[in-house]
Amino acid sequence: LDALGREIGRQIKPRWKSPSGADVDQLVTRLSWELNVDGSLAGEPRFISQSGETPSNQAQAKVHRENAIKAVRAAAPFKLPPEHYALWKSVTNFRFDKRLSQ
Amino acid sequence: MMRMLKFLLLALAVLASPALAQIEGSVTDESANDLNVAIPVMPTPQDTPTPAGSTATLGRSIAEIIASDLNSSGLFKPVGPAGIKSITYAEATAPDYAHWSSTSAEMLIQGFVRANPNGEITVGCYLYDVALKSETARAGYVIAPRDWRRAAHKCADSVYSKLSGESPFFDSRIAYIAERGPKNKRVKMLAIMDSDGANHQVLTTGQSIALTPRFSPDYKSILYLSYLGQKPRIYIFDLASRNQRLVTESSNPTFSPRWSPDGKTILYSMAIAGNTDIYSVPVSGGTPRRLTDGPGIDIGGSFSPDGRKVVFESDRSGSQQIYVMNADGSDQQRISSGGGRYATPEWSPRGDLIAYTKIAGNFRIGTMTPSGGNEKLLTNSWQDEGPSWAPNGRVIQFFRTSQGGTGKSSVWQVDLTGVNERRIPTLMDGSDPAWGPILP
Repeated sequence: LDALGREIGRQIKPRWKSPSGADVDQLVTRLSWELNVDGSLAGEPRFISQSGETPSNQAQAKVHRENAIKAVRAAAPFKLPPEHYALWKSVTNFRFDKRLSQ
Repeated sequence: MMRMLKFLLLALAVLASPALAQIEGSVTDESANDLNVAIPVMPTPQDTPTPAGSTATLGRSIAEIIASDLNSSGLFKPVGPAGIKSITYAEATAPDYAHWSSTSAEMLIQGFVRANPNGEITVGCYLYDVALKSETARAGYVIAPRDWRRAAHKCADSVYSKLSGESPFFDSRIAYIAERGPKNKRVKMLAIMDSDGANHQVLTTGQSIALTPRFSPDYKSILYLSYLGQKPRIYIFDLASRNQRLVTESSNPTFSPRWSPDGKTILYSMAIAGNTDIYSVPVSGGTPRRLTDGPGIDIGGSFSPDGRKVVFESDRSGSQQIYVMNADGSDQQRISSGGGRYATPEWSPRGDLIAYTKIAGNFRIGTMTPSGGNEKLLTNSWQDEGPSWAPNGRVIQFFRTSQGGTGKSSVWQVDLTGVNERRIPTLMDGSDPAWGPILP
């Protein structure tokens, strides 16, 4: 399961662009979504929670959430082993964050 | 066989406990902050001459300014208009996603410039998401051809706001001091420019020394300090008439002028017999009110955006530190607590942070919260000072004096991450930049 989670993360990574600015590295958005057996999205990704909001990154919080949803939509269809479909059908509480590169 | 068995066992386990079949994981954006944005030349349906150049020329220049604005924010990596595909007028509203998907572009800004029968021009501005193949935002500006730069700034502002979540800031102006001459005989004049360093105008002759300008919130006038002879006095310079008047009649030196956010009140400092205090006076005139009364130097008040508090600098503790008080002078509290001295505090128009000059060896620009927490230094040069906030409170301009006694100074800009620093071009040397609000 961990390996599948990492594989999904690898496929989202090129699509995931956190907004930039002060304190954005503290924001964490969590989403859940369902997948069809061909790796396409079954319905829209669902927003579960967000943490790390400060007065300085308030403006980015909404964009952070929107971009996380966009990243999942853009990364689909996911290329995952169909024989393990039962394992990856439901992606839960997936975490989106940013590390500031200096 | 073993693999088959493993899979069956796993499948059984999954069937037996459905809760297990939920993938968790995480993804971290470790890229640099730059989002790739392609900006082709804005096409025109028919190349038409205007007083500011033909519509085809304007289409290229507008795309160039949008690219330059977005680049300066540090959040984007604009590509074009040079060296990328040129688009047709029809394509402006129907992007060739097949082409752009094959490039590094993640977002695409397209538009057009069209001459209207009444002499105005229409500038269209569209933002597209290349990966999702969909329109993200659109705007149109009907303007006099001479205002074409503003249309470019407004288009860049709409893209910046949409993609960053922040308020706009490109379509704004800067008041600053234009300087020339040797260090001991500097000529310092009041000057203004666009936020990107275009459209410079020098407003005073340089016979008196101008310092610390501040645009009024309505952009109609500039408050500044003028040394006529040896005495510093505060004037309001009216931009339409080019006349100026004294803010307060006094034989004492006055300095460090600031507007209140509503433009109705002016804060300033006045020195009487070695004791400097902060005063407020209505713009329309009237009796100044003294807000501080301790011994020592209280100077440089800056209002919070709601006008209820004032941040200022005081050496009452023995060294320059930052204090916050109510706008009526009550409840004065020190907020700076790190080592070293702190000067020229400025409250962000967004209210969340205070910028200042930190003096500890060299001069650096920093920020802290209004309660003094989260101190962060953004620059590290020999002498950086005098921070001024962009209207959205996310970018700071300041001036940098070069080491070595030439007295040469230049205007710089840095964002709140401290990563994106750049020089703003000025006609002569520049100092004391003061950012005005977003243009109406």
